[in-house]
Amino acid sequence: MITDRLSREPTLPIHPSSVRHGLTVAIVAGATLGAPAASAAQVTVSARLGLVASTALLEDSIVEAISLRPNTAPSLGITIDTRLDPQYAVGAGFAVSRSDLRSRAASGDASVTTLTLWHPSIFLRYGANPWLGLEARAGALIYDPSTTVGNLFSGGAPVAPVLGLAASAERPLGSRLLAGLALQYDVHRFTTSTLENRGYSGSTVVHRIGVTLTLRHQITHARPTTR
Amino acid sequence: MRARRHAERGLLLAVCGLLACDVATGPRRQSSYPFDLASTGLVFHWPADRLPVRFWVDPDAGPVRAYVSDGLREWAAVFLYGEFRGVLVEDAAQADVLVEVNGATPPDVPRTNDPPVGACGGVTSNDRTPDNRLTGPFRVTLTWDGRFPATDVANCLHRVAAHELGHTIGLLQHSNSTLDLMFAFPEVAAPSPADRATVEILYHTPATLVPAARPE
Repeated sequence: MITDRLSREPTLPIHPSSVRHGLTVAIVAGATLGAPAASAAQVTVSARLGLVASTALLEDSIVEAISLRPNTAPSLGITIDTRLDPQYAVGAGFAVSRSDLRSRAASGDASVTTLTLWHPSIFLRYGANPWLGLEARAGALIYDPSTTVGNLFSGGAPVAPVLGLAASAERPLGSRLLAGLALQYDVHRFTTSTLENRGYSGSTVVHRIGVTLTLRHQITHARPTTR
Repeated sequence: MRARRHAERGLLLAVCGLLACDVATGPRRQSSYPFDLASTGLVFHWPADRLPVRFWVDPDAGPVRAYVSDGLREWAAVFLYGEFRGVLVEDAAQADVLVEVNGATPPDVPRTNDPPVGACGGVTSNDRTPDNRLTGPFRVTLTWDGRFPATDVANCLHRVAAHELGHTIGLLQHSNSTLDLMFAFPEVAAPSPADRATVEILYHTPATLVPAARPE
């Protein structure tokens, strides 16, 4: 009976949500597992906690103007980076935010769904001086609506490429710990299969800004080896 | 250094590509048909604070419960932004819409794609107070004719149940097109693009007829 059941499983459709989660887990795991290869250099791990605000995902007009925008969302993230030289570092990060996606119109506001955004990324970090860092990021923004009220995500939730910039000011809290405040900006395009099927053309450029508190921990030092 | 310059140029091009055109443009929507209460101009739709609307189906109605469930799903799928959704409830006293079948329990047979036959009918009713408030839940009464084959009855009740649900969500008139679910004698079982356009407009038009208060 078990063999029979196992033989059938590959024919089952793969749930898109599982694929998304698998992808993000793989990216984070890859970034983390890849770090030891750079252990001769300096590796830093950071945790980020903050808020992210977004412009509208969609502006529509049905008798009245309708704007679809997520509420300001709490966000949580981790990054790992390794120094290339005294000024530059490369790294990978993963962040998640969760908020209420609302339609806003003159006749009233309504909740459309609770929207989780998974955000894996890679980045290049430039240390402008000992306390100021600048980052350029590229990654993906994976939309994950928790419930589908309405039809907006019924054809599937989008995965959008995203580009971003960040500036962070930091100060040391001990020999290996840095605390800081970061300002982040990123941009991506939004549309869904349902919108396309219904004749919406193009996609909306969505701008997001965020403020995060960061805690960076330097876990490896470059040490000359002597034999 | 050259690699870095390439990376910076690539990033710049990607940003330009991202920002090239910044707004999704809505479609040209199908023309709609009237939805107000004929001869009064009154407009009804469920307010957001009454969602999900509660539908009760008489346990003696047999397969009609499944038809109502299908209809609710079809109508909810019309809305992009969740303006309407309904659920089935077990307690008639808590319901916003009551669905019953007049007469015996209809035959529970699989539906087919046979051409539509008028083997059933339906009526949706409600009363209103002078200040334009509904006096109670909507009542949907379905009838069926046992002289027709069972599959024709099943097909017909499925269509008519979805049609009557259209009235309960606020489409208070009929369409003139046989392609629309809200045609007086429905020949299709799901909302058409014109049904969709009409109900989208309805749910963004201020209502002048309000639902009865829910029982505590």
